[in-house]
Amino acid sequence: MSVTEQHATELYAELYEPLRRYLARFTGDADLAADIAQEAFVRLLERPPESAARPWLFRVATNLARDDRRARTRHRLLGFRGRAQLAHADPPPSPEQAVDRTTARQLVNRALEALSPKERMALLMREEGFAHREIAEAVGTTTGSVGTLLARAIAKAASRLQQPQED
Amino acid sequence: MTTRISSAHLELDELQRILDNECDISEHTYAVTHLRTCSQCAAELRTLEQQAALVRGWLQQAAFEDGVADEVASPALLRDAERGRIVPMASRRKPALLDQSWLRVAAVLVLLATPVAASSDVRGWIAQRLGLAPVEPVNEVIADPDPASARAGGVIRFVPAAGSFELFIASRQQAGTLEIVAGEQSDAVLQIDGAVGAGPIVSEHELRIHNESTSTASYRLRVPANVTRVVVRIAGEKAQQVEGVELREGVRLLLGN
Repeated sequence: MSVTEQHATELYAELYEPLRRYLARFTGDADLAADIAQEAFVRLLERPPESAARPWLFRVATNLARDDRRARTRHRLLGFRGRAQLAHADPPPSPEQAVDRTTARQLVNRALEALSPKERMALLMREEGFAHREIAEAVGTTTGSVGTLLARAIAKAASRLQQPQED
Repeated sequence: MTTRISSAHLELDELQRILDNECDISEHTYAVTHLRTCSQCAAELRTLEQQAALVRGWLQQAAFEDGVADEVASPALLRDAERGRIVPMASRRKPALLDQSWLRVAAVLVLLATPVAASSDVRGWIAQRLGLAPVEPVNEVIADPDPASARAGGVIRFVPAAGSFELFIASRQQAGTLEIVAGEQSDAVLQIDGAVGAGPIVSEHELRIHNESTSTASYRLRVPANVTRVVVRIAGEKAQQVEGVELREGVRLLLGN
């Protein structure tokens, strides 16, 4: 199915926010997530997929996130600070909120780390309301196996989230 | 078609499909029958549901999408990176992804910014990326439904996400209809008439109606004008989209077999 500009516009309206949120959770970086989400939409227009656009978009964005993280890690190893923190338009959270949020982010990152890449992708796509069929397409597995993949991912993540924090 | 023995326990993948409203009709019928009498499977389903709710709650609390004051690197991704290939020098200087992105985005935006193609959402995106407009607020649930009143019929008001909104219906039911229409109001209203064996769950970007196959409830969903498409997913069936004129003038879907 080719992606027309009109279709791309509709897809953008429907999927930009879910994709950005998914990527923010996947990478732990909201600014990077916004950049990658845009890049994925650019690729959608430049190279329209033959398959369904929704899972394709998430698969491409996930690959971009992995590639970008690899590159950014190398920068750190070479002594670069990496991307500067961008100013954010929202008011800053209160100190209590910041502590809660930071703790939550650390816990969630540890929980997601316990998952395989496929499990992580499936779990986060489920959170965006994707059907098992679409998750299967994005992850590269069969629809029938998505239930088990998700159940295990959820159980693993929940188990890590219930464990006391280790430093 | 094969007939299952009603004492056969539900597998893990089946429990997950029940939780996600992904069962087809025969699977759903079997599951409902089995869960009435099997406390073990019912307990496993509850555990799975609780675990999913726990994970969702933490993800929402972490609010990664809201931006960061302190960078929290994802250890999983760092681990992935360590396993990755050597990055070329050009990419080391600056991540390749960020090098050309703006040029290409600008080119695509020229295409999208034509009067025919550009929706207000895309214009908002452009303005937002240029720092001209605030970040659009994410969806907010005004009031959680009261399960008790909902089961006896009632009204739920909430704010769905702009753009597209998803409505999940757990199963085909005995009778009843679903009416969807867009209006000028700023929040969405779901009215449930004669609901027996049905109850709604409102989450951030979707509305789920957990109905039983014996339910005869009818639902009326009014969404605000900023919602341009409602995707209806009924368990075991292909998703239906209601949009454009159909959404403005209203559409009625039959839920009964």
